[in-house]
Amino acid sequence: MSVISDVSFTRFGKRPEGLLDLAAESALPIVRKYGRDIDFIVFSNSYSGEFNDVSGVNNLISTRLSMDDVPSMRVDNTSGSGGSAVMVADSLIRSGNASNVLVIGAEKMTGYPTKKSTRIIASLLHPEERSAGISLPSLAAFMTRSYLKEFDAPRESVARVAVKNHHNGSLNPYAHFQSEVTLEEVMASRVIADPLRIFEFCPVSDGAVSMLMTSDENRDSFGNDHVEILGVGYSSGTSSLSYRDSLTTIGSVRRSSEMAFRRSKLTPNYMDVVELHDMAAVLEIIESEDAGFFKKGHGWEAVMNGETEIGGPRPINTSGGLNSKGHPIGASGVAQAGEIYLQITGKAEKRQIKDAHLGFSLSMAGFGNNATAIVYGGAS
Amino acid sequence: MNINRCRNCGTKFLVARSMCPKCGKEDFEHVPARSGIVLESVELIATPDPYPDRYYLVLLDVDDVKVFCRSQEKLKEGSQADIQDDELGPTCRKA
Ligand SMILES: [Zn+2]
Repeated sequence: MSVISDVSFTRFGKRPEGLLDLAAESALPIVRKYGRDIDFIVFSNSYSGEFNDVSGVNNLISTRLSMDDVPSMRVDNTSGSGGSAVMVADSLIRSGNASNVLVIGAEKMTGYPTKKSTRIIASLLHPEERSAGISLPSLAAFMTRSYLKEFDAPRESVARVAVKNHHNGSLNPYAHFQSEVTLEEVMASRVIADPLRIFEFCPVSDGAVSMLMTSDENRDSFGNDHVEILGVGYSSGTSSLSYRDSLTTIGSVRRSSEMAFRRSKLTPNYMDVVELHDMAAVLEIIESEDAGFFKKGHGWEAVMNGETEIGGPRPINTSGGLNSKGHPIGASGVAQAGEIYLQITGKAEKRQIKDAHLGFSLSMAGFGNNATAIVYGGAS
Repeated sequence: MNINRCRNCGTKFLVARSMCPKCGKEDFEHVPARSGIVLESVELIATPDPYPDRYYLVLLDVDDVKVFCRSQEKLKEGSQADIQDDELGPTCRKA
């Protein structure tokens, strides 16, 4: 088994620093303590070529940290890079190929006009589909229309996800947005892809997060606060949107979650704290069903009843989610693991869930092209 | 815009593949997609470069294959639309 033994965040948001500056800012507190013990660096990042005009970023950061000879690799899996990076680190440790892994997730995305960044992100689509002028947010709009129609859900339920996540983000010192929004403000905000409005989408953000992952046997050399990786599930689904049967369920999310729960010998009911990939608010509802927390078509009711709030029976995205915390692509999945770590070790301060022992995260790539689901457990 | 059709088993799909996803054969014909039925349309305001600033994205059913097109006007669900390529990609309009 592998464990997470330390986590370090930068503030997410519009940052003046460059990609390597942000990555180093998050990694340094861990490297200062444990640098000599780290024998592998996994760097989660997707768009350094497109946004920052650099490649080979894993070696650039290892030299920046004066860990020049430490083996390193970049994990690129678009929006799901972070979950994949945690899976790779877990595999390296469990196979014996590495003992103590520094996982860094970082992305520097701001500074370009929205049209340009929308184009860069849309480059993960097939040309036959992309050429119609599709953006990732437009897919969330198709999904919302289908979901509301198929399950007779109120439009307000999707907006309520954004209200909840902005509240949670207001309690998270690392979040991009740290202020609440009302339902009225969400519904009056600018339409991006009808019917979805700007507060229902994640912002374009910069940011980084680092974690120290090690084996169960080595854990005592790395402090007293450890969170165990109890099960990882991974799945892909067709990258051709026109080849998908349904817009209201995501196969890769269903299969990866089922696998992670089977491997951890746990069920969704046991999870105290959950982080989902809410690039658009509607995705949180659909993933909460596909991961098994609610029956298909009932996730919206849980939101309306306040079940997914901090203090509710099924808290989701206590960090603020991508929606409010921000979505620096390579950092997001690592930040989900980081939030679960803070919750289980009792360090989540104002947004702390009482008696959080078990957690779940779902990191998704390219509107469901891949998903990594992880079940976490506390030592206490 | 063309739809791919497997000459062996008849499976149809939009995105280029080297092998048929159903039977694994590698022999396809390319059938022009000229019209379809509107399944859903979404008005997109924040559009990607180099597309215009505002348009409708339309999901069409073309002979049981889903196809995305760009339209300047809102198209009613269930209505018939004609497909035509412009310099950026597939567009559609009321039939
Ligand atoms: Zn065939």
